[in-house]
Amino acid sequence: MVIRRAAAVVTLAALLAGGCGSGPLWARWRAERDLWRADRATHAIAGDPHAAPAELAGAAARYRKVSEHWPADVWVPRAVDDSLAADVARVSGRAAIRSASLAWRAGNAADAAISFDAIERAYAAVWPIALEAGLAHAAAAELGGDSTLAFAVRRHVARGYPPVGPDGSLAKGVLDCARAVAEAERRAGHDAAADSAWRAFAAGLEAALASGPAVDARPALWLALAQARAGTGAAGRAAARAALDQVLRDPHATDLVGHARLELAELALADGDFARAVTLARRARLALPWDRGLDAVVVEASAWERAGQRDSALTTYGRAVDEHWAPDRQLTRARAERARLFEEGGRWEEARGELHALIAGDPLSDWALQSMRRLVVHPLQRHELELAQLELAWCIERLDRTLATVLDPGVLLATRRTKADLLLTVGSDHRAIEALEDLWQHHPDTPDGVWAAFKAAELAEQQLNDRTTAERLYREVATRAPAGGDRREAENRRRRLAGGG
Amino acid sequence: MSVFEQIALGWACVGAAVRRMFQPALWTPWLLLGAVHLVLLLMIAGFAHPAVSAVMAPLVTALAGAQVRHYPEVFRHLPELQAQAALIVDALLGPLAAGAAVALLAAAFERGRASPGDAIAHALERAGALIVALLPYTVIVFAITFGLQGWLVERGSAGLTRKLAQLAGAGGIVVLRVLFLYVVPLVVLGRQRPVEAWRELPRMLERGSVTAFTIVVLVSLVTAPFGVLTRFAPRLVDGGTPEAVVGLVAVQIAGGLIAAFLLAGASVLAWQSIEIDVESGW
Repeated sequence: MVIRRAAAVVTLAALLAGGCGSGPLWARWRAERDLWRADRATHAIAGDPHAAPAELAGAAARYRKVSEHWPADVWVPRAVDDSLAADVARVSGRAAIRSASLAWRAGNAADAAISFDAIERAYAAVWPIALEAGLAHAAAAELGGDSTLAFAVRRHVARGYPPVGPDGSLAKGVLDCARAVAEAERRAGHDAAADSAWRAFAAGLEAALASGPAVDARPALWLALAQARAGTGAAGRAAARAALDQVLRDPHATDLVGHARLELAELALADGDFARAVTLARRARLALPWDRGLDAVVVEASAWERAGQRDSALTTYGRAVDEHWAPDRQLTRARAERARLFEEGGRWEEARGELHALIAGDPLSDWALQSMRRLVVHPLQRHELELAQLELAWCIERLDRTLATVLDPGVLLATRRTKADLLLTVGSDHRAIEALEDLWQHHPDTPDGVWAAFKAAELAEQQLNDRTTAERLYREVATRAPAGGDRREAENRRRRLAGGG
Repeated sequence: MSVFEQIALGWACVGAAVRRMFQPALWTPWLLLGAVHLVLLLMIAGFAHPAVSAVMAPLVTALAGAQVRHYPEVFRHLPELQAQAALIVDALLGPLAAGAAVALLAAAFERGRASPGDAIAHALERAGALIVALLPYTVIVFAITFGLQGWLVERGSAGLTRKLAQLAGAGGIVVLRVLFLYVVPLVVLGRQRPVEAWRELPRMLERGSVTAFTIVVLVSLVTAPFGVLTRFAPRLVDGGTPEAVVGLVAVQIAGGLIAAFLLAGASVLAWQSIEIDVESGW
């Protein structure tokens, strides 16, 4: 009897342990838990632009452990016919991508690049993850200052991935890469290559649309096709309009009507049809979500401006300013555009008032820092030195207040850079060196910090004949700068100074 | 009895029940019910485990949507999920536990000692009558918990309306508890059939509605802090310790059991007092 009971208990325990439910569901749960815990553990480090390389390497190792625990060679093959296994593969891939991104930031760029390539290959069957790896690779290269590699990776993504995801929806990452590649090619004067990038993307979208995508995915594909066609310049505008007509006629395109009208307004602006651009931009604004409304305002004001109606452009921005009851990015941008129009129209006092209002309303934004530069540079250009000094004093006081009260590292970096730039602009060498040294001491691992150290050393050596300070700064850069090239350059300059001395 | 006498009686009943809380044997029915709740809680929290996922994964999806199947979302929704699933357990096993507890406490109040086995056996004898007698209460609580909010969401009511409805629902449940406070003693101690118990209720409430109200309010006040605890669930999840929500809900279950113990104990004493009151012809 006892043996029978024991056997029953063991059988029940085995059934419970083995279970009759879903193994992949449990696997996905644990994989998501592992990634979530890794995210929690590394959150502070990943978000800190000044994290030490050892900390970043530790965080990268934590993510690597997750991806190794749920290996691609086990879960990617299963992903083909099991959506839960596909989720596990996605979690594993994301962990691998985060590991590689952190390893890159920790200074192991070569190893990280190899990892990104390996992730793309290993997760090719779960291609959104392979695409994410490509995008993360480009972002890491960009962040590390290697724009050539970033461009190459984006071109590889734009050429190598279809513009439509496995679920039939638009692959926005591919669209962004195609746009970035085309813009870079055009900036470099390679118009044919830019057009080719857009045409290749458009061809992929046309093929996807011809294959009969899901009805709710169709409007976004037409809109992206219009953007791609418009990207090829005047030749593609008619075809872009045809694509936008498809969006506007589509009953499932409710959310995209405003975007389509905005594209049409931009096309009209590019064609020089300013009256139509104004009408379309106004209609677009009514249909666009609140945070995109100012894009339509900018198109409308640009149309007025290009038609020679500066006052109408000012009124357009003024209306946008009046409609905002609380400071936000949109209001700041409208104020900045109004200030530019006032300044270009020779109405400096009104421009100045707008710039001061902008700084008061959104003091930590890039627009505010740009506005401070205008406040100082404009009187300097008109040789009103006294006014420039007054504005400089006001700006420095505000910047110092920001430095004393704000903790965000990005804001602090931008604020210190602006302070140094302003002091350099007015030729206040002593104070500029102090500000540059402050920038270098607080942000030695950033390109701005290294630039500041070099600039301060040059000023000390050439303007103040202070070779000791210059040599000290070069010595510091030679030991603390993150890039090897900067360290070598600083060491060369230090030796030259020591030899000359 | 005057209103003040009834309030004093309610107060005394709850006080006497509180004093009995420290007799472990009296907890037996509630501990059994609590064990079922805890198992259910663990099954919800571990819904993805292969041992239970065949049943629990569809259940949690039906109650809270597919998103809850991703870590750590189930912990964010655990208090509501547990509360909803507990309604089913309470509907089926709650009347039995209440019946056993009433029998046990009545014996303890009368003789100073009680046998949990006898009390549970007695409650099982009266199981059908207990479940049927408490059925209107269960159905209305179901309707308030599941139906009202769902209906308001479906008709697109504003957030304030839903909040007010939630408050009204909570108030309605307090009133229901008052109305049904004497049902279990009537069925178990008075050995009445469900229909007889319902017929007897107006007479009981005529003489002891204020007492019942006092008992329900006092017990609700004592156990209210347990209900507030679950508001911390999202904070625990966002703070990085989602699994701690299981502990939080377990404490809430304990709070519910304490409330049930006190209500059962106080209802026995109140019922006995009103019966004596009636028999003595006051």
